[in-house]
Formats: sequence, C-alpha cells, structure tokens
Amino acid sequence: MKSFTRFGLVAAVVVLTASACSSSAASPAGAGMSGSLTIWTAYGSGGSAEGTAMDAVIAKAKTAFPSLTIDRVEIPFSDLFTKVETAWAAGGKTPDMYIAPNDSLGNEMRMGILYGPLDDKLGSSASSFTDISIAGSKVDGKMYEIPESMKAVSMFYNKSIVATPPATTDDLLALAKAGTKVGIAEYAANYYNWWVYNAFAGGPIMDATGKCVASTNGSSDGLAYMKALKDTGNVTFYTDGPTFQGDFKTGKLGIVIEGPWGTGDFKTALAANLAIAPIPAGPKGKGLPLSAPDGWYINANATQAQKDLAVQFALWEVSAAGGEQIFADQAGHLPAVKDATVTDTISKGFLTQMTDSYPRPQNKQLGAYWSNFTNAFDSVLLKGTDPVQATKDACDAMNKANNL
Amino acid sequence: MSAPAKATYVRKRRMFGADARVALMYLLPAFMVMAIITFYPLLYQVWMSFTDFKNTNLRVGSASPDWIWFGNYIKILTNDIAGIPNYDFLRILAFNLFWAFSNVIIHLCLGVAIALLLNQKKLWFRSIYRAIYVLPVVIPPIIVAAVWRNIFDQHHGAFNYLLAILTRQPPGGVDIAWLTDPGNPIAFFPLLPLSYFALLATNVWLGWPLNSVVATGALQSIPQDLYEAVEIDGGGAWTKFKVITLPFLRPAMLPYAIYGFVITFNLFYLSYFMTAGGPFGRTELLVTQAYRLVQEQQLYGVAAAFSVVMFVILLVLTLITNRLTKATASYVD
Amino acid sequence: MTSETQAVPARAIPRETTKARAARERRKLLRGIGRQALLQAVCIFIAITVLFPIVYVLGVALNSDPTNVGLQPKGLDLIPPHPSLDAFGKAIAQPSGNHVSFVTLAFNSFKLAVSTSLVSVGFGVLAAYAFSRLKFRLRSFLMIAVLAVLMLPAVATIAPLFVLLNSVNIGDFNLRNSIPGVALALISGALPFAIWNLKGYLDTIPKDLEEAATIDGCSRNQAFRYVILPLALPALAVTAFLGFVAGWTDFYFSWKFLEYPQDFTLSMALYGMVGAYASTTPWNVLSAFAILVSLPVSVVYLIFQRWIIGGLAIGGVKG
Repeated sequence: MKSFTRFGLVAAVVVLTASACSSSAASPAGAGMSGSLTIWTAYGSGGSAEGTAMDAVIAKAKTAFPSLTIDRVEIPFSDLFTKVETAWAAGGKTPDMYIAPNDSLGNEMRMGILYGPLDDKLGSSASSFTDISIAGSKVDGKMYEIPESMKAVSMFYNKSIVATPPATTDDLLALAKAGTKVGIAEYAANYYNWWVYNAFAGGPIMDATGKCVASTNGSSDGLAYMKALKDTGNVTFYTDGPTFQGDFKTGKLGIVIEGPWGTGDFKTALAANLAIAPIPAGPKGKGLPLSAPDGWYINANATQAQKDLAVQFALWEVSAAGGEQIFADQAGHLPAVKDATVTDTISKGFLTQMTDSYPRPQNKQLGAYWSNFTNAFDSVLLKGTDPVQATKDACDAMNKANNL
Repeated sequence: MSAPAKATYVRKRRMFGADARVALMYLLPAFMVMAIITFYPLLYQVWMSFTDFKNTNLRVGSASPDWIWFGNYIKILTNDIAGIPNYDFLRILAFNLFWAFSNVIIHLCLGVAIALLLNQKKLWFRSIYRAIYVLPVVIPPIIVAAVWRNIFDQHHGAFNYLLAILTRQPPGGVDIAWLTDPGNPIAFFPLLPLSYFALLATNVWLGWPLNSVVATGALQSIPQDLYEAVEIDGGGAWTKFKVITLPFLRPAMLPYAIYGFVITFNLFYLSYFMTAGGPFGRTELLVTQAYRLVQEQQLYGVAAAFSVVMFVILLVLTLITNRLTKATASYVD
Repeated sequence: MTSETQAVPARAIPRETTKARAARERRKLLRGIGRQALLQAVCIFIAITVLFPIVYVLGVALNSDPTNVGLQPKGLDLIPPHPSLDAFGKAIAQPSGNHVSFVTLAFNSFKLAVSTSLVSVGFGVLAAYAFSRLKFRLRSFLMIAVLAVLMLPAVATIAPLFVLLNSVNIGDFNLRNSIPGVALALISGALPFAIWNLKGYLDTIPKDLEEAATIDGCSRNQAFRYVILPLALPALAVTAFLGFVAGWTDFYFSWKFLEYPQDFTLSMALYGMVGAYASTTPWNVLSAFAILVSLPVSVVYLIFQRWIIGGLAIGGVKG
C-alpha cells in the first residue's frame, strides 16, 4: 500500500470506467475445471442480495463445469476470520478458500497460512485487474489475495426526503438540525466512520510508521462532530445492521453511510428514490473512507492440485465472463477486473467515492486500531466521554500494544 | 438382625472394605477416560499458561511456544491484554460474584415462597399451577437467551411494548435500550448496568422453578403433626415457619443453593448470547471472557493462564462448599 | 392433602348453636373465600409471568407477514396477526445459512447428547459406587480431584482440549474437527459431574438393603447390579438428562472445533441467527427454531419428570 498513491487510485478508476464498455476477447479463465472445492463465505443466510448473487455464481459454475463440485459454507461475518485462521493455523485442509475483505490479509500472511505470493499465478488474467485492486491485495509488495471487488462506504440518500445531498459536514449537521433523519453505524464504528478523522484532522489516525497520531492531529474533533450530530436528536447510531438497513429501506431515514453491500437491497426497496453522493468533506479535508478489495484467499495447507484448482476457480469467478458480472448486476459489487461493466448509477457513485478513499493499510499496527477506536467512538457517543480524552486513551492503548 | 448374621456381615464388610481391587475395578473405566481427557488437558493447560502459545503453535509439529514464566498472569491481573479495551479483571470478578449471589438469593427466596404458596391448604388448581410453574426448567438456557434477547430488544422487544401499554403510550413509545444502555441505573453502585437487570430478570425466570421443586419436596417430608403441636401450643403461622419449616428446608436447600451458585457463577449462555458482555464489557463473566480469549483473540497462552486463575478462584469456592456439604465423606464412614 | 383433618362436617355442630354462631361461620366462610381469591390471584400472576415468554415466542413463530421482511413484532401481539406455519417450514428446511436441514443438525446434536449422556452415566455410576461404598487408600484424594475438576466450567478447558484433540490425526481424519472429538470434550466435563451427582444419591440409599443381599449370597457385583442400580434409577435419570441437555445444546466446543457443515449442530445454527452481525434471520424463523430445539428436551423432561425431580437431591441430603 505504501508504494501507491492517490494518483494511482484516480488513474485506476479512470481506466476502470473507460474500459467498462470495451469487451475482453481473452479466453475465459478456469476452462475445464474439475474436482471439488470447499469455500467459506459470509454473505448472510439467504434473502440478501449478495447471498443470492453468490448462489447464482455457483449455479453458473456448476453448469459450466459439470465435473466441479462446490461446497459453499456460510459463516457469520463476526467469526469468519477467527474460524478461518484457527482452521488453517491448526493445519486444516478445509476450506480450500474463502472470500472476504482484506481485514486480515497482512496478519494471515504473516501467520503463514495463505497460499502465495500469487503474482506469477495469474497467467493471462494478470492484465485484467485494475491497479487499485492489485495494490490492495498485496502485503510487502506481494499478492496474497485474488481481488474480487472494491469496497468502501459512501453516502446513500432517499430523494423523496433529501433534495440536495450535503457536501460538507456543516451541511449535514444543518440538515440534521432541520429534521432530516440520518443513520450512522455504531456497530463496526471504526470501519464505517474512518472518514470522519480525515475530514477533521486532514489525515489518517496513524503515520507511515504505524504510530497513532490521532491525539495530536485533531482527530478528536471528528468524534466531537459525531457527538454534535447525535445531539441534534435526529441522528441515530445503530448497534445492528438489520435495523440500520431496515430503517433506510422503509423510509425512516433520509441519509445513511453504508457500503455497496447494501446497494442491492436498497434498490429493491427504494427504487428510483435511491441516490448516492460522496461522503461530506470536513474543515480539514475530504471525508475519505477506508477502501479495500474483497477477494479470495487460498489455504496454504492444501495439496498443490487443490491450490491450483482454487486459483483457477478464483480467476474464473472474478472474471466478467465468469461470476463477476452477476455480482456487479445483482449485488452492486464494483468489480476488480476491468471488463465487467458497471452501468448502474449507484455503482458509478461508488466508483467516484473510490477516488476519494484511503486504501486500508496492511501493516501490523492497524490491528490495534479496531477495538481501541471502537471503544473511543462508543465512549463518546454512548457514555458522553470527552472526545479529546477518549482519543488520547485509544491512541495510547494502540501505541502501547504496538510498542511505539 | 440376629447375632450370627451380624458377625458374618462384619467379616464380609471388612473383607470388602479392605479390598482395593474391587474399588480399582469400579474406578478404572472412569479414571482411565478422565486421565486422558480431563486431568491431562488440565495439566497441559498449566504448562500452556507459562508460554506465549499462539495460533501459530496449533499445527502438529510446529515450533514450541516460548516459555515466558508469569508473563500471561501478569497481563491478566494488570489488565494489560491488547485487543480488549474494556478488560478489567477485578471488575469482572466482582460482577461475577455479585451476579451469582444475587441470583441465588432471589432464586431461593422465590423458590421457597412459591413452594409455600403451593403448599397452602385447600388451594384450588394446585396441580395445574405445579405443571405450569415447572415449564422454564425444560427450556435449555441457550434458547432462553436467544428468545429473551428479542424480548429485551430496544425497538421491537415485547418488554418495551409491555411498558408502553402499562404507561398508556403507543407501541414504540418506550424504547429503553435494555441490553446496550451504558448508564448506571443505581448511581452509587456503578458495577451494575441496565443489562444486568435484564439478565437477572431472565435468569430469575429460568432459575426459581427448580428451587421451588426442591423446596416442595422438602416441605412434603415435614410431618403434619409437628404443625399441629405448634398450633396446640398457640403458635401462629410465623412461629410454624420459623420453628418447623425452616429447619426442615435448610438441609435440603443448602446443597442445592451451592450447586445453583456454581452453575450461575459459570453461566455462559445468558451473558454471551443476550448482551455479548455489553455494554462496555460490564456484564462479562469469567467464563465468557475465557471463551473470548481463545475464540476471538486467539491468545491461547493467556486463555490458559486465565483458566488457571479461574480454577484457583473456583477451588476456594469449592473448599468452602465442601466444608458445607461434606461431599467427600462417604456412607461407610 | 390435609383436607381430612380440616373438613369437620358442618352437621356435627350442635343445633343449639345460635344465630351468632351461624354468622361467625359465614364470616369464616367469607374469609376462606377471600383467602382463596387472594391465593388464586397470586398464583395466576405467577403463572402469567411464567407463561408470557412462552406464549409470546409461539406468537412470534406463528406470525408470517409477507410485507414485513424481518418479521419484527409491531406491538405486543400474543395472537399472531398473520398466522401461518411458514416459519416452522423454513426452520426445518434450512435453519442456517448453509444447506443443512434441521434433521441433520438435530441428528448431530443428538449424537453429542446421547454419547455424553451414556458415557458419563455408565462410567460415572461405577466410580460413584466405589466412592460411596468402598474403602480404599486415596479415596479422599481422588474424590477431591473429581470435585475440583467439576468446579471448573467446561469452557475453561477449551484451549488445551483443542490443542490435544487437534494432534490426533488418522489420515485425513482430525479428531478435533469431528463429532467424536466434541463428544470427548463434553465428556471431559460431564463425567466428573456424573460421579459427584451419583455418589451423592448413592450415599442416601440405606446400606441395609445391600447387606441383606450380601447375606443372601449375592456377590458385591451382584448387589450393585440387582440392588443399587434399580434403586439409583432417579439419579441415573437426572444425570443422564443433564448430560443429554449439555450435549444437545453445546455451543462453545462445537463452534470452536467443527468446520464441516455436515457436522454442524443446532446451537451453531442458532448462533448464526443471533450472532454479532445478527444476520438477516427473520424473528419468526428464529422463534420457530427455538421452539423446535427445546421441544425434545421438554418432552424428555416431562416424561421423566417424577424421576428427575426425585434424583435432584443434589449432593445427597443424608437422612
């Protein structure tokens, strides 16, 4: 991640959108696969757009490769990484692969449980990926993940409630004060609300060495802003996803900050009233959300034949001719490959947000960010702790855990 | 018993009593199994607790973890576990003890009171009530936790709807965040968040019926003429309770109360499934924390040390318990 | 049960008793009715608190409103506004996110329940007998060892059990990642409990019976088999029942150890419904599933209720 810059990001997205209409003539990846694969996913149990899309992709694979059997196991997202890490660290051969955001990419690579580097395993597919997705799949310059789609949060709004989306944090606050209902995720707060630190501090919570600098760069103003939003009485901080998404779907909320995984269900519920806009900019900078690819991770314990099959399947799945167009059309995924087309306005909105996003670092130090800053967020929002103190405590705890 | 028979018996008894071979035969199956899957893992756990055992040490044939002496114990007792911001050992222990005591006391009082109620003379529909009151016993705690989590739901929970009806508000008029509210309902006793009371209500619902069953059994063993004797002496209801009922209940209820205390002290499902230890880890119990250390944090060494600490705490409780029940004494003594 | 001593027939009262006495009788009767009304009110109130969650869950499970995706109740409806058995169908067909039916999950849970129950009671009663009736060196020491282990909850042994069971590999079979492995982990805690609980009960069985049998020429083993075992049935029933419930509802071992969906258990599916990211499980399916999971336990309990309550003289009150 360190090697690539915002310019790279912008360029990548330009390429992505530009190539969206040209079709690829390359031979489809994964031709003639046979055998059996166990894959773990965390797309929710039936009913969700992502889960349905995954089912459709597997059905397509079964038709295309009659001698390939795929056993898909659904694991709750909260336990996906720990279960995979436990299984593979214990020497388990199952699952062959799993698909997830790159939350644990660096960590799992350092544990030695991921098959890789994958840089030279991509064959003719290598050129089909966007630069941004390749960059997000690397740890220390080497690929350990086959990227499937890009993810970041952005701002959804309901056109029947909000006429003009807020461009700045002040606009958002003013809207909330005037009575517009807004939803913010309190669960996974550290991920959903990363943008607010950048908007109020002009930079991320940690420097290039992984040292937390949030206590000195004004990040606490971000938390103070969140508190101000809450104090309007019109901004709800949700502790669970279904209620959060449900309230937006039923029109109880005018604005939510949510990722592309919500697109499919939101479109079904709100149809033409659904719109998207970039996350508001703050006094010190744009509200950059974390961006990262979802992708396939392959079990290092498996036999070479299984690893090869897993790579083949992953490359087929992420290709437009394989599974990715289904994910793009049905679940609002932003494909990691250039030839899958994105026509939908919401997905295009996410592509715009992607140009204003912060690629998730894969260094070890970020590991101590999650729980400590979630705690800071919760303390300020729920307990009314002083934002400056909460930020300092979280920063100190993070640096202590990292011996910095 | 005639004298010769008694002599035969005494002779036989001595022979059997001294015969350790018979004992060995009876003990062997259980102790062979326990040696492998109970005692050895516990000793292994003690070894693990002095190492920095991580998930990378799980693989068969992987390098041994580093020996770090009391490193894990120091981390646990000085609240220095990275990744768990709200971890506070003494608070968890204090909450856990309070949780167990408060539950058992309420269970006992309600259990005895309701047993007495059902024992009232000429009570109509007695057997119907008995059948109804035993129902919570038959529902597994994990199910109770999953269901009561919904009952205490902030937005759609039955409890808030009920409060709304009682306070004459429309549905949704009451939205108390029973399981997540970080406030202190009792200002001078900040150990207990609102979710404690939700857990308590659930566990009281779950717990008193069995106490009542045990108390009923004890009540029925009280000879009625004792009460009549008190009546003749002019004693009232309170005297009867104090002089006869209580002394008869005590030996029956005491072992059960101790059993209930240990069960409640280690009650995993309610805390884990209803509140997930929240808010801010304040309803975390030692058991749920132990599980989180292994499952979520994957800190096997720290988790092992944590279990050893738990073991010591429970051992102290066991020794107290043991004095109370004299469970190690056997009938032949 | 005490009515005979109370029911002094009214006719026995001599005729001479005047109006005053009749009035007193009436007052007494009224007081009796008042007392009964008060008792009934209290009993009914308690019955309502006991029944409320059960009726409520049934109501939620039977509700199936197609316009309300999450099926969250909109108010306190004990009678479902859109009654349907739909949720039960869904809970049976595919309760978790995986293509595993309720039957498969239940069969796995059943395997855990039965093995935990049988092994702990079978081996436990033998050891309990030795502890209760035989004198041998180390008896106190071994009993204290059992008691000490028993106090440590099963969750606290999960780390070493994981590591040790994981080290047993036969070909592709990994003991940790299997139903027998989870069963062993459960027995690890259930067996000491069974020994303790059964010993407490055996202590209450009068020894004279055995002595009589011994005098009649029974061997020690025969006395155990023909005298002690039948008398210990209530305790065996309750220990077996508790072992069954422990296996049937085990969550932490199964969730930590198992990775193949065909091995998944009921509790694991339940966790998928109520876990941290709460998934998209509609409330009616969750409620229907909860009812289905508790049903077998409830039925077993109610069938063996008499024995189970008798056997619950935990720790054995020595009489």
